[in-house]
Amino acid sequence: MAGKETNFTLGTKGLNLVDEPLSLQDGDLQNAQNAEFRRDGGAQGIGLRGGTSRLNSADLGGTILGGAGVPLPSPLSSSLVRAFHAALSTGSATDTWERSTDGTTWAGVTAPARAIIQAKSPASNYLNQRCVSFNGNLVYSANDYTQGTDQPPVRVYDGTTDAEICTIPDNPASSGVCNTVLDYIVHRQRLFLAAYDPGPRGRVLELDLETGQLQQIGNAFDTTAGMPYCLCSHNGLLWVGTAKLAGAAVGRIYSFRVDVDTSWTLRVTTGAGQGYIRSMASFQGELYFGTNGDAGTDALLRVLENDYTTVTTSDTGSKLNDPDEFDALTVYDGALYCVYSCTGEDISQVRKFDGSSWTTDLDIFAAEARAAQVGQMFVNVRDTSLLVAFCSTGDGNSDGFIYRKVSGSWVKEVTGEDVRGFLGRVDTV
Amino acid sequence: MPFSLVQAGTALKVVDPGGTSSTPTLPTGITLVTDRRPRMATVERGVIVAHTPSQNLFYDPLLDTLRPFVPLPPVTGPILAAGSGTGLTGDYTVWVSFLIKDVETGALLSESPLSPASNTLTAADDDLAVTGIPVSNQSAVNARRLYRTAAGGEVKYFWTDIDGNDATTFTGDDSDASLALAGEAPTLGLPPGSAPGDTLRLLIAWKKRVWGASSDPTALDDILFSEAEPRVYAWGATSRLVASPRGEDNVGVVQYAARRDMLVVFKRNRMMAVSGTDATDFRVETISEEVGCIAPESVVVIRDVVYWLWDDGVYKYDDSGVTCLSDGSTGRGKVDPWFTTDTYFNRDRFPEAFAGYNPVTRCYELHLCNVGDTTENRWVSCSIETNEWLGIHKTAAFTPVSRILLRSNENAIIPTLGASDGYLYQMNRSTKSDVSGSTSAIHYKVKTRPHAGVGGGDPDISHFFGMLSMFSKVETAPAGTLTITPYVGWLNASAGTTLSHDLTQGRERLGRLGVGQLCQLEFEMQTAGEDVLQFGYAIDPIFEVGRR
Repeated sequence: MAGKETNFTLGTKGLNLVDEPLSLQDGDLQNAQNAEFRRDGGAQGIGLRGGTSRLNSADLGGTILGGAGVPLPSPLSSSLVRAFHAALSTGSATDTWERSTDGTTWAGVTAPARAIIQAKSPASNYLNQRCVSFNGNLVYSANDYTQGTDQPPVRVYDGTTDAEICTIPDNPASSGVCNTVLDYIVHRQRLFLAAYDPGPRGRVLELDLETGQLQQIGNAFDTTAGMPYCLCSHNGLLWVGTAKLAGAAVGRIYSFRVDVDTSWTLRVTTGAGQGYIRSMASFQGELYFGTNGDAGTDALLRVLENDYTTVTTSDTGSKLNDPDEFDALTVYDGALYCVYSCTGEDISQVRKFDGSSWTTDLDIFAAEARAAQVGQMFVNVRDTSLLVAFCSTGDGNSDGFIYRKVSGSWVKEVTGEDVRGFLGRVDTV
Repeated sequence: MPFSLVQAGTALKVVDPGGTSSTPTLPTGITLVTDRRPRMATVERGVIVAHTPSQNLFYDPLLDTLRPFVPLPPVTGPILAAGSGTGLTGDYTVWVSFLIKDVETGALLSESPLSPASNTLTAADDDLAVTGIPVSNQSAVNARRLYRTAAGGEVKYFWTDIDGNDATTFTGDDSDASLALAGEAPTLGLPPGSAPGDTLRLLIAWKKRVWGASSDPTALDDILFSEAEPRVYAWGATSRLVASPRGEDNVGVVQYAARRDMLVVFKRNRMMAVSGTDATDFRVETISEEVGCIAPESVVVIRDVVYWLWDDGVYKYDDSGVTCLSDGSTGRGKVDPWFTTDTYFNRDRFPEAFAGYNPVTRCYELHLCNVGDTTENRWVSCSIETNEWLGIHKTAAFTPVSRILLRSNENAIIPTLGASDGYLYQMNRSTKSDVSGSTSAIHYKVKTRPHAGVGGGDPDISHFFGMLSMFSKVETAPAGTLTITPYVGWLNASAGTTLSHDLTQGRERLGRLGVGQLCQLEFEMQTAGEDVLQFGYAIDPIFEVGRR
């Protein structure tokens, strides 16, 4: 009998190596080397498997024994951007911040909004940290308010959206609205800020960035305690240094165990004339703090030992006849850095402590022919560099600059800008 | 953009979807071996790497750094004495642990077990002066934590951190009442592989914990688990179950597989499952007292179904139970001889088999060693939907050694082969070649069933098999040529004169096939860059010649 045999189910049953050949069906195969069954827009059949190609252009240096795909942002990704922002004051009419993704190339940007200007500081040389990086966002004290009339706003910028998260409520013990936020800190993954109230008084508040809610931490600081000027995380405790105590040129340091204590514990009261607590840092297990010295006394850089009682002096300012100060204490690359300034005597230095002795690491006055102050230094842990924004001589004066230290060398990266003296970071993916 | 972490030789590499790689620096003193496979588990913030490092590692992509997963504990306890202040009365004891904290946020990333206890101090309205606080010799440690009792108590409470790895003294007078608010010491402990001597030979993340198995010969059957996230660095001494019976072989737990509501535990000839929600109700139940797993790298979970290789074939485990996919018991998958004879594969190397999921073909793909060879240079594929098997696949371009699921820029899964030449090879490429340093054609070869005439026919009758018509997808010129080799005669027929099908023709009538009882066709192509997709064929006419 003549006829025709068709097979349009080729491979639909895959390989069959078991059944005796005479009982195999049309869909069975006896070999399917490098074949795959494809269902592609109605075109169903057996065909050649997909090709392979090298992913990496260079040998990775050995047999690939195994690995894992990781659905987390890649450190190699150009889309994982860490952008450093240095606040600008009114010297630039439109630009509000200087921005850089590598610390070397900076450009003026108009977002986020302008941060608080120098004129709203407690005094011209009170520059402290007015912003912080938290969960990849830049949280900062904004300038868009009338000091003494409006509650000061806090804004958050995620790299795209810039929004007001809250305003600082009044201190019931104060005679007016809060003046400004003087410092921010991330302590045990939570965000805290130091609020400066008229008096001067102040409070330390915790800010929940998800809800915008503020919670006062411990007791408020009255005129005896002073305004909380700088915050520090040390040995698992939250620390605050105060300034402008009523009646005396002294400062105080308090500690607080978050979620345990209900009031701040006084740890240090500085000597008369040795002024206010300008900055603090935890270094080699001890708390270092810098003060400012009034005319007639030197500023001191001191150490609170781990009995939280003994205070020793680590470094002494050299200008007895003019106010001087130790600012911006920062731990970087295994050493402790600070900025020592005495504007009346043309001194402005970045000083470095290796655990044994202090040296001048960068003489700003020699480099820039003027004394420049710094509110904050910023450590880029990813490339182990240090960014320092040196403040201009006042709002509207474009004579500030940004230096960067990497691999032991200082390089000036920005000049001729109205730099405010503090920096933050925004991470975007 | 996601990335992949791979071990290439004695280094770990970070590879992005574009192939750019970097080499994070291994911590001082830690090296990688190459005679076993790395184990990796992605947890919050990063990747744990075990089994090949001399000490378990943690890769943090935010900082692009490698650090010890868990720091080694202090070997000595601190010294406790009465301080010069006041405040506390009673017997006090202190312990120390080493911490690794995030330098930017202060978050606790890892904590070692506690040191030995200090001496017990009987305070009489004193503050507590601690000296001799241990310093770690691991550079990743950047803080220490002190725990202490309340007066006369035994419970260890959190007392204070000492930032840095330098200071050796601390004095404090925090009240006992405030310690209760600070909290008790958590469960701490080292996983295997934290120090030279044993390794964490298995590693998997399930139910917010990390599960593992030790290379310690006395603990091969122990199912180990960590504390829940974020404290996956803590492996308590009692945080273990047993895959009973202990000591039944010298392998112990072979592999884990994470399903939604159970952690499947494989031994060589046994299957179990861990169920439960936390350490208070985890329990081990038996799934099979016979079927086990022979190749830890063959275990793959696809759509909550587990696939793996046992002695006699490939199995799956789903809500219906355990099913063999290669013995034809499902009606398909009749490839039993691959696993039960020595004709196709080197069965002595079954323990080295590895597998992965191909989401494009929706296949479980198993890599095996060709008979007579010593590397896993072949692979076979099984459709997870129809249980069809295809193979045996091979490539002339490189030798596959491992299987990794890379992720694209958009987080799509890309099955990838790790090779002995140090390259990663992405699969499912639209260009139909295997491209290494040079371009290798893929050797396509498909063989049909024997035809015995029309509609089943009669193999006892000799037939005239007429013209062959080929039906295929139209390929754009220049295209390859599909070679057809007819085998006309009995089952031992020799290859006949080949025919060629022009793949730019969707339908092409070719020459006559010949005279014989049976006709079987073999299709073959080996042209770099050219594709083929066959829809079918026809033989016309076929008529009986006679019984000869």
